[in-house]
Amino acid sequence: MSGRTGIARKITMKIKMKVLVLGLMAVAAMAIVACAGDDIQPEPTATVVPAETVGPAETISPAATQAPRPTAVGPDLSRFADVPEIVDPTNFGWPRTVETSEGLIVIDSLPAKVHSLSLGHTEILAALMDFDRLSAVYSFFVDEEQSNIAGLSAGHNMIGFDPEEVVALEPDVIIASRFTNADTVALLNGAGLSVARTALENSALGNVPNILLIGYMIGAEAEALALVEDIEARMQVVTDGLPDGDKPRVLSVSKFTSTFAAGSNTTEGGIIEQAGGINAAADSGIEGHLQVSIESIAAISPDVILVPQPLEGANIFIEELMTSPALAEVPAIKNGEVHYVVPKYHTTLSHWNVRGIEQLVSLLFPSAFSDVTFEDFSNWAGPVDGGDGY
Amino acid sequence: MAPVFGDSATGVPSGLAGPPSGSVLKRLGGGALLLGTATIVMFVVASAVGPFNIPISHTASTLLDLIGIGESTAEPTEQAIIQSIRLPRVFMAFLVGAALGISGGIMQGLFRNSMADPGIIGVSSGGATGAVIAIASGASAVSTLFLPLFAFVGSGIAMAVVFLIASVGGRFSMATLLLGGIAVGSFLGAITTAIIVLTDDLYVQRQIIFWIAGGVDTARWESVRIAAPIIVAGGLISVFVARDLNLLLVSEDEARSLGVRVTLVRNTLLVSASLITGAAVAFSGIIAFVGLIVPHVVRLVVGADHRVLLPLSALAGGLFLLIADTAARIVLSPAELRVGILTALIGAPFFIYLLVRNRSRASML
Repeated sequence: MSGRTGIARKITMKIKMKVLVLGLMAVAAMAIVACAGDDIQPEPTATVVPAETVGPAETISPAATQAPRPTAVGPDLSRFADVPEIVDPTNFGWPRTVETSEGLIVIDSLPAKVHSLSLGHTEILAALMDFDRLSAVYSFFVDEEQSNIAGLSAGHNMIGFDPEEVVALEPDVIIASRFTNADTVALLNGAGLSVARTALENSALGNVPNILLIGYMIGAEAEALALVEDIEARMQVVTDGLPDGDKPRVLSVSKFTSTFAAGSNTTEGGIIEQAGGINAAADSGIEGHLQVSIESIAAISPDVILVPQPLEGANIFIEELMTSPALAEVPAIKNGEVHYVVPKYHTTLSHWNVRGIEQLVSLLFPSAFSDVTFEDFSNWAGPVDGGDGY
Repeated sequence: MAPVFGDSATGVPSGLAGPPSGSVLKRLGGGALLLGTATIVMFVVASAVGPFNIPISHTASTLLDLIGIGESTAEPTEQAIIQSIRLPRVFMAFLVGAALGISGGIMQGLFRNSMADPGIIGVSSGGATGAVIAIASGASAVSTLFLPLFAFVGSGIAMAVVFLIASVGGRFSMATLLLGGIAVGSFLGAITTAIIVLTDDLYVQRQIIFWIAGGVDTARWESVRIAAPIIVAGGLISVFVARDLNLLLVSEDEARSLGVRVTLVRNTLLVSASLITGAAVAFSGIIAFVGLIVPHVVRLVVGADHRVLLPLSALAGGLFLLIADTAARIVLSPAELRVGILTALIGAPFFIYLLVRNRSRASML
């Protein structure tokens, strides 16, 4: 009996082993198929973008596009001379050359397809050009709480984070931020694509050269100048309206499991300072985004607390702040000055931060700005006067 | 896994199998007195320091007031900070450190390897996966208790799966338990990473990453009240069977011949250590190296008798994490570091030191 049981057990074991080995082989086969990627797919991934809208790098024809674009030439073009990355600020024809941290990039002709690896840059691009020229968007671009181009992005070609997908799109120029992974940039450069890495600033006016640079690269000088003038006019209204006297100490905090304050060199901190406040976190020695506790907030003792995070979490966090006995004596709590602010204006680095500044001055100095109506920026809706209407 | 304790750990002298001798009680009493005193001092220090400046006299009077001696001289805000922010955090840091210390001691004993840690059988990975699911699904936003609950359940499921793997065929195998734990841990780690990578919501990603980094900064009395009974009960049960663990280290056959119910003792210890670890992970995330280095250091000082080693590892672990968390709170004040980063910064060099020392010893043999 025990002998039979032993034989049966051995047979069962052998069957189990075979099943296990076959299972492992199946997994290995699937892994090999996945790695093989495009080689075995019937359609290349490049077909994600309609063929007629994709401009392969090889099709650039400098000779055909070298003539200057007369429509873009105007009196304010001299402002492009202040952009250090533009190699020849008198050249508004093609090819044109820029030098960013990735080295010299020659753009042979007006880019038909532009790709951006950052949300902030894409927001700027959306203001300067037809969104259809953008080769693709990423999933977080459609998040309405973070993105100022959620509506535009929703119906657009969406890709994942694999650089291979970008290569397949064959964009004429790629714009990366200083936060873009260096390996990604190297891979794209290695694939023969032109990648320009531009650094956006935490200051509305500090971003002007970057906007001009982006406009220059994509052949949207007139649109870039129009956007810059809009930013400068809005900032002038803010500056003129700021009252004299003591500046309020403003703390920007968000809670993601733990609590984080925005100190110096942060987008939120830049907005606070440009809106006439003192960044209380920076004032307390915090640099960048650092973790703080409720006790830290009591120690910083701000006059105003801003919570730039999605509304659902913000409401819970604000409730926690307002009911914490440890914060009862903090001026912001005592005076009910704890505010949710729209995160897409405060955390994504682009010209939309000016809307954050406008929102904040209305919050900090309501009487000084009671008769001012601030409006959202417009995205590209057609060629600006002097533009080429591409 | 080859034993690396050396003779003092694996070859348990006969004195470790009987009732506690005078020497054992002396080591236990001396160690407990020393660590207990240091812990009490550290409790006071940790309650007294922080970004908000509170005079030490106000802290002292508030603490005495809490135990029914005198009346607090602190301002209401100071009292609120001490009572509702610092004290729950101080207790939670001690509890989590104690949990990791004792469960690390148990795992190192059961696996006869000083490189074993509380998460070696996949419990920490299970907790992390549970917590990540709670955050990604939005359950953690519904109630503050859901995140630790999911993490604890995740730890429990991981433990159960690894036990099942180790018991396949009706025979329990420690080697299979270890390998199964590593496999399940890797599998769950992959799930956790997949959730992080695949979620579109950057805020969710941030929440997950900061939770995994480990910390006790969100501790509240409510969480202390939930974690404490599990950790204390599991710790007491483990200490209760510590003598049998000593015998198991000699050999299972010898332990059986001395009347030890090997399977029951081993499973009790494994379940206790897993529950303790699960409770710690649920409320603190993954805090590295405490469960690895604390029992090892204690063993170097007091020897391998688990009747002494386990309770002192609990005290030392609690004290270590309390010191680390206090440092994490004040080193960048008013900002703070995550305590998990600090323990790893201290623990990693020590771990390397252990590796190098073991290799040096081996080469001398």
